[in-house]
Amino acid sequence: MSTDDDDDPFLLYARAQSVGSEELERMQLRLRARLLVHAKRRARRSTAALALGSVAVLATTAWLFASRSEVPTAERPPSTPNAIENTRIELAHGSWGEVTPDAEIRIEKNDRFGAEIGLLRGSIELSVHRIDGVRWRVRSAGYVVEAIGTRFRVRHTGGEPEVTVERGAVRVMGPTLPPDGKTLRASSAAASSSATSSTQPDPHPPSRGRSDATATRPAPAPDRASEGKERPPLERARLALRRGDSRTMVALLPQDFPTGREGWSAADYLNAGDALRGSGDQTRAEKSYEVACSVSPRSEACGVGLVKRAILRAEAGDRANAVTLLSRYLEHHPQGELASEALGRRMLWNAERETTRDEARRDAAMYLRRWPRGPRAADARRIAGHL
Amino acid sequence: MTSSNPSSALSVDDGSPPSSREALGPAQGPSRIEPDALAWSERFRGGATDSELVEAAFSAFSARIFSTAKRIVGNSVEAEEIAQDVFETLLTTVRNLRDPTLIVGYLLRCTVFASLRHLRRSRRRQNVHALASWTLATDDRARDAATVLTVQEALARLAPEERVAIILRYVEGYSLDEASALMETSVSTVQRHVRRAQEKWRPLAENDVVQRMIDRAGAGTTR
Repeated sequence: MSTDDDDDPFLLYARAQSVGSEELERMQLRLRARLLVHAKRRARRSTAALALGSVAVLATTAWLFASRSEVPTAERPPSTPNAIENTRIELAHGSWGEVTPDAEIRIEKNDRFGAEIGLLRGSIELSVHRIDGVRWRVRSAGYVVEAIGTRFRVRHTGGEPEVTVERGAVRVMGPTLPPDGKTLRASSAAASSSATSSTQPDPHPPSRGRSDATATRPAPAPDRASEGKERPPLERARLALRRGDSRTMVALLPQDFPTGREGWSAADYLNAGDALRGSGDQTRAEKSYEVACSVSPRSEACGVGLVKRAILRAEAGDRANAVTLLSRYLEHHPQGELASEALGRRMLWNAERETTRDEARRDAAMYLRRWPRGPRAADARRIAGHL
Repeated sequence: MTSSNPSSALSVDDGSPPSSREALGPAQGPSRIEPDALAWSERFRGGATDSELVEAAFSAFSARIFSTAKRIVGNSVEAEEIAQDVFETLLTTVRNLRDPTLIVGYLLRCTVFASLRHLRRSRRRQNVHALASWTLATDDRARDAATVLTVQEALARLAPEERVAIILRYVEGYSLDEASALMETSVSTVQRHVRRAQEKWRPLAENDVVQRMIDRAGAGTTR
């Protein structure tokens, strides 16, 4: 490769963004699993999935038909799960439900934060994925059945609903149950039979922020009132950040940001750091990069944050700490995207000080071994040869 | 998880998805038929199931798709989502391929379209202010100190189509014909995207790295 190539910023960018074998392997592992799930789901959907809106219409139609029938609904044979007449509904995050023909349901909420379904009659079977912050609930006659990552069926009986847990566990809250509700677990021996019931403590509590007191009250009104209100500033700041509106984001941040208790991801803190830095707030920017690492020490975001913090420290004249931060990056991300840059910078910064010339020479030798044609190869040769 | 519907997920300016059945000829996308593509096409013609074909394509081409996506969007997380989109799309469209030997071109076009969609959705503009100061951090002796960060931040200033045109042409090294085929647009449109990118960078030309990017892009607007 020629020297011209080393001067080509696009080529440097291409090298920095090249995919390492480890990263590729991890990506392939994850993607292969997801594609497998997708392929299976696609095969299962061959009978065509119906949208939620049409489900409500179909369920209502079925109920109207049933109510005109001579056979009272209560005497109708119990619906068979997965019967061909069942109507399938698709929920967010790949979760799904099946509504029996005699069911009447009301979709109270269905978005990426979960679903709440009012069951007025009949039964519904849900198979849901447990995701933090996402709630799957079925309300029936004042009882609330909340999924804890499971597959379960709820049948309206007029009183205590009949809950069948096929897999995992649910928490049932209602007027005749203790305030903590009741955890029902699927029997491991008979996955598709009725659940065994127990009141043992639930090791996987439902999503954070759930108010049991409200949920266990008889015939609770949908507790969506608070969800309809404006989101808290911190959440709005995060949403602004994600759509790239850094100015709004900075304006919405509280003065004590970042505390590390915001519940943000490392990438969010990294981007927040960039936004803060863009607004001239170096101190909080640096703190934000630091918190990215405390949230997820092994993440790519933490690594990038370390390099950016090092640059900020160097800008402030604190080369010693800058070098320490780069060393941390190189220790935790030896194959990271910024490894060559981190090593190159450390080499140069070490070379500036008399006391660290030996380290500079070692860095230069290491740099030349790993990136003999890298962007700092010329500097490395100079440092290795003449310092 | 992102949508895998090709008609919605893979639309460009005119809203049309990359077509697998029509107009996927040698002039569209990289035209060289690769050994892996030949092997894959033999499986295609040999009656393999859709899932087997996607699995084989994944094994053979996922590294390339992931790498291209990563360079376009600039991070691994989104690149992985894009790769997932691409192979989910392949699962639904694999039987529509007219010429299976051109699978690589088709997958790359899907990658470009999915990347464009991701870029449009999350136009990362929060880094825009940072360019000058990051570069000022470079001392004289460190002549390429912030090159990669500067390139990333200069790319962040571009519209998605401009960014994709620049990446395909100068980072991935495709010819103008190939880049235009991958973007399903004309050569002159790609050239226009490149020119616009240069114009957007020109106010920053005092930065050496940006000046080199402008020069490089200026030298490469011919085929």
